[in-house]
Formats: sequence, C-alpha cells, structure tokens
Amino acid sequence: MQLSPDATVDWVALHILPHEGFVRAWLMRVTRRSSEVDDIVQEAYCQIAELDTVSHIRSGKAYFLTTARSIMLQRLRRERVVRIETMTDVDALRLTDDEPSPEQVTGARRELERVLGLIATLPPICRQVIELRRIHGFSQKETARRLGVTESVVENNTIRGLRTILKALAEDAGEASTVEASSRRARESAHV
Amino acid sequence: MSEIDAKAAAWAVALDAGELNAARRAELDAWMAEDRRHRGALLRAQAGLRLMDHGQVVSKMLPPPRRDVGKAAQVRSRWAWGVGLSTAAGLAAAAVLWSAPVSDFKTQVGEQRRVALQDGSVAMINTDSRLRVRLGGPERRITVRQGEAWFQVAKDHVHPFIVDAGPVHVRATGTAFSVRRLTGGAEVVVTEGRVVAWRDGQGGAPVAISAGQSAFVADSVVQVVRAKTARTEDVLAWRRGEIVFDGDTVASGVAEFNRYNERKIELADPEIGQRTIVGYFLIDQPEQFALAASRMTGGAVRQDGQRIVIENSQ
Repeated sequence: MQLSPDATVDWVALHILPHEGFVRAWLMRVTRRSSEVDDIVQEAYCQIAELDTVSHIRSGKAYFLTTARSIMLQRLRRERVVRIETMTDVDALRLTDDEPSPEQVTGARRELERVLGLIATLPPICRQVIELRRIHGFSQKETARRLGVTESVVENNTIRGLRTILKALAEDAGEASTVEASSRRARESAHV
Repeated sequence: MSEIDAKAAAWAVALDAGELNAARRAELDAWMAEDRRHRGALLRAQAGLRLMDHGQVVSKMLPPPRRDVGKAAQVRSRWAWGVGLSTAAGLAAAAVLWSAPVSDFKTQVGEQRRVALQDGSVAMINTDSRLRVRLGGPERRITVRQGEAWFQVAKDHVHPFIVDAGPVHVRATGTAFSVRRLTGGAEVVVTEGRVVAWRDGQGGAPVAISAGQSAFVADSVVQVVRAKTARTEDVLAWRRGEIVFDGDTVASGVAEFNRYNERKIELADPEIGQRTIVGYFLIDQPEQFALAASRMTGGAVRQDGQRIVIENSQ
C-alpha cells in the first residue's frame, strides 16, 4: 500500500485540516447526526488520500466541502427511505462558489488557534516533547537524549499530543464558521 | 476518539521518526489493507502532525480573527479574498517567510533555486526537491526529504553541518558537496574539502569522501559505501543549467532529462536505451537530446504537447 507523498501531507495540513471544523459544522447543520458527520469526513479524507496529485486543486476548502457534499448525497441516495425533499434542498446549496467569504477564512484561523492552544493544556513532559520538535526541530532520538528519557517515552508523548489535536479537530467547532444563508434555508426545510 | 484515529496517530509518529524496519512496514501494510478508511485516517494524522509542528506558521498565514463577524459577512470585500488567495501559496513558502530556525524549501519539476542560509551557507536546490533547514541548534541540520541539493558550507567548527537523507547522514564543517536522495540510498558528490558520510544501523561505519569523489551510501545493510573519483563538475552541471554525458546510456540520459521536464521523453524501443552518448545539453531542451540520440541510432523523434518519443529506424 502506498503512502501519501509529502506534498499531499503538506497540502492537507495547510488547506484541509484548518477547514475541518467548518466542514463538520456545515455537515452537522444539514444532517443533524454526528455519527453521520464522522463517517462523511472520514470518507472525504479517504478520497483525498486516493488522489494521485493535489496540484490541480485551487481551493482546498471548496474541494473539501464539495467532496463532503457529494458523499453525503450518495449516502442519502442509498437510504431507500428517499428523503427527496432533503436531496433537492441539498442540491440547491450554493457550493459552486469557491470563494470563501471573509468570515469563513477568519473562522479557519480561530479554529486552528483553538486546536493548537490545547497543547498548552497537556502534561509538562508531553508539552516539552512537542516544543522540542516544533521550536528546535529535533528528531525523536535527539529529543530523548536532551530530556534524558527513552525514545519510546518521546514517541508516546508525541502520539499523545497528536491525538489531542486530532480529537480537537473532530470536536464541534462551535462558532468557528458561519454558512451561507441558502444553506440555512435548506437546513430548515430538510427536517420536515 | 475512534480506534482508527488512535492507530493512525501512532503510525504517523512512527513514520515521522524514521524509516520503518521490514517487520513494522509489513505491519503497517497489513493495517492499511485491512480497511480502506485507514489510508485516509493516516493521511489526516500525518497532516495533523505537520500542523502540530508548523501550525503556528499556518495560523499566521490566515487572516486574523475578527470580532465583528456579522458585519464582515455583509461587506464581502474582494480584498479579503485576495488575502485568502495569497495564503494558498503552500506550507513551504510559509516557512520561508517565517524567521524561526526551521524552514522548508521546495522546488517544482524544472525549477532550481539558490537559497542563502542564515549561517552564511548557500544551498542550491535542484528540480523537484524538498529540503528542511534547521539552524540555531548545536548542529546545523538539513534534511533532503526528496531530490537533490548542493551546499557551499560556511566554516563553523562549533556547529557541524549535517545533511540527512533518510537513514544516510553527511557531516561537514566547511566544504562544498551535494546530496541526492534516491530510492535505496543517497548519492554524495564532494566538490571542495572533505565530508564524512554514514548511515543508521549496523555496518554504518563512517566513510570519508574527498573533493573530486562521489559515493553511493545505500540504505540497506548489504551494500557498502564506496568512494570513487567522479567527474564532479559534470555530475553537478545542473547548477549551470546543463546536463553532461560522457559515455552514459541513452536510458540514463532519458531519466535525467525527465527529472527536469514535465514533457517526458519516451523510448519506443528499450533497445535504444542501451546505446551510449557523449555531449553537453541544456536542461530545458530535451528535444535536442532526443534529436541527438535518434541521430545516433538512425531513428526519428516524434513529439506532441505531452511527450517526446525516440523511435527506432524502421
């Protein structure tokens, strides 16, 4: 199995992850089911991982949103109960516009700061490991030597920090972003 | 947090710490094959790790939060989108703007870049390459994550200059040399002074490489490090925008040109690739090389927008 190239990882870090809160908030408004949101987001990352290249994508945020939307539509179509109304309303959502509004871009930064702020709440050893990586760019081996701990202690604490961040990204972004008025209308009629 | 995410986080950290050994690699492959969602989760975790390391940079690139979000929504200024666009320049570019000790550099296919480092050293980055530079610590540390770079190292005996290419490391104090990361190892070419190269693991005894020599340091334990007298100026002709062949095979010439150009050269018959070629070529003129190769074999060149095909005489 092939791993994603470094360029894709960078691109996801810069153009996808900071918008995960926004995409999740949007999905939550439309689907109203958090388990559904988790599945759709997971599938979206899957599809991104399967891309050969990301260099053709102009806006990561719009791409993420469009991918999530089409996964959601597919899932709706598979549900035999046919919530036709939901589908037409969802289709009507204005997602072709790939210019994020100022407040959406702003939301991404606030969201990112929220997520990164959580590092400060981690236990001291974990924080230290992360700071040594981040500020000094030390390898696992060097970090272990400097802190006088084993490499596995460094590894476990890095994992711990990363899990905190991954978990925070998946949590409700709260006020992190606002959606277009049209999607709000769709949401209202989607739950009849 | 889901079980998948926890596993993905552990794999992302393990992959970042260095190359996995065969057993761990097999374990990872098995996990990836188990469920197609695992691949997406791993990508997300790897990106999360990068965000953890560089998140402050990314955050600074995004516009600052506004308090009056409601008002901003009404005034949808084009200017704000302009800012958004400029943030799309990429993580590499972000790191360049960032004055902290870790910087990432990246070149596209066909791009070459000269970078003056803070310690006075110069890095010349070749096509399709990725470099991470960490200065300010007890060691000056450069990671060639992909591709090739040549370094003119500023003398500083207190802070050794170490280049990492996967499990291969090259240490210098004040010299000039290049490191190219290849599948299964790294090629080191020294143009001035002397460097010491070694690799992680057993049998990784350091080997000295002097000016005018090159060495291939293999990742695997089986292959040995060997230094040989090299046509260093020819090998590093890329710094002048040239490619020099002296009895190299057409196949290796094709591979070399294809490193630099999106429009790829192809051989209609692999037999053509076995012939050898001598000459100076410009990196951005693959057609000239194709023409020279076809003349030598008595064949012809067929080209369209995407590719240049060297055909046999028939």
